[in-house]
Amino acid sequence: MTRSSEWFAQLKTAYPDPADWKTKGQIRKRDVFRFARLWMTEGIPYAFVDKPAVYELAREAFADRLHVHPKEVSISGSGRLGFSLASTKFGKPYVSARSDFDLFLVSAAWFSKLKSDAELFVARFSSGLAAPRNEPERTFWEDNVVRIPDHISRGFVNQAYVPSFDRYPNAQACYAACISFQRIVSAELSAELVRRVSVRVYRDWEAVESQIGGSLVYALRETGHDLS
Amino acid sequence: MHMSELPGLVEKVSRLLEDQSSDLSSGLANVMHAVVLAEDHRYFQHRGVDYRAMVRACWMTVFRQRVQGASTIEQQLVRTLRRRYELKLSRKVTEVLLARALSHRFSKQQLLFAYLQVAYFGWRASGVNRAANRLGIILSRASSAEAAALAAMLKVPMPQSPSSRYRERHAQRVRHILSRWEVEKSA
Repeated sequence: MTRSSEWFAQLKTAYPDPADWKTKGQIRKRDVFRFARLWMTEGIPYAFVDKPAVYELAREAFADRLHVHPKEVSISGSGRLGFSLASTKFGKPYVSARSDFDLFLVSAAWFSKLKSDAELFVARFSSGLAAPRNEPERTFWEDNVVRIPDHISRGFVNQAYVPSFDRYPNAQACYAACISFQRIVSAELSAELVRRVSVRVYRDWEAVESQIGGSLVYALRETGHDLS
Repeated sequence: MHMSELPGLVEKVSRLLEDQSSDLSSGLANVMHAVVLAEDHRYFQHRGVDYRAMVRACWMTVFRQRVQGASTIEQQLVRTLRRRYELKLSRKVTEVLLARALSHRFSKQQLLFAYLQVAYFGWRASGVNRAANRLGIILSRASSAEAAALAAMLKVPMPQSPSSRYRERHAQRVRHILSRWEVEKSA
């Protein structure tokens, strides 16, 4: 059997408690990527653990909008495991009324389409042709145009970083798909208040694993976990 | 020696003009105008070489230690087609002679059109069509702001990941072009 760390071997549930992780010995980097591959991309997300049918209906609605297979759609972020994996708020529990839904789609075709829109947005903003309408837009857009090329080189594009204007029809379509997802969830879960839904479009599964696993490795390092 | 290069250059320009529409000025009017304002505002007054600009550039270099450009659009076209960019007097001299020779064989509109087809505007933006495509501009309907944004990229080519410094430099160049445009309109 391929060697793995004690931390990995002792993971017993689909939604492990991050508080235990520091006491489980050294974490091997390779196992973090294994964890990302299964726990963070497959199965029923924590946010829907009691209502898996709602999740399936919502992602089906999302997939229909973009003409992709529902299995290509999944959730990352705190809604996936029940706690945040970001270095700044590692372990912070998922709260349905206050957490966003971070969807991701794995599709080479949509990656290519959204990449074109994103590159167009970067070029237009950088040449002064895309003018922000207010101060928040100015701040976010300036930040987004710096991040977009880096994200593309890592194999993904975040739909929320591209304005959903007519000029960017693919970003608009992704946004509409997010709204479809949001509508289903809001309608089916009366107690649930879905704050915001956005989607990150990955080129392939390798890019998913690399990005999600890499972020987790970074977060574990930043939060003092024993990582080898 | 330089004249041996002329037939090749003439052929290259002729090939670039094969795709031209019957009326060059109609489709690209604003873009052509912005490029002339940005790169060579006496373009329609000289025959391939702007001696006034050359004297000014020499003066600035010798007495003010400030390097200034004096290349006309014809010279830039010759440089781009020859792919010779070395900082040598011989290169500059042959460029001047070839630019003059080309200006006797083609009209101003034709040379400007040819230059736009090969000019470097930045990453994935060689030639005006690719540059316009990168900015989402429809050339035949380019506004003055869009035309100025494109023309500014000749001096400030857009990299793959433009920085905030790039945006500042580009915006400065656009303002310069548009102010020239305004001055010209009011005159």
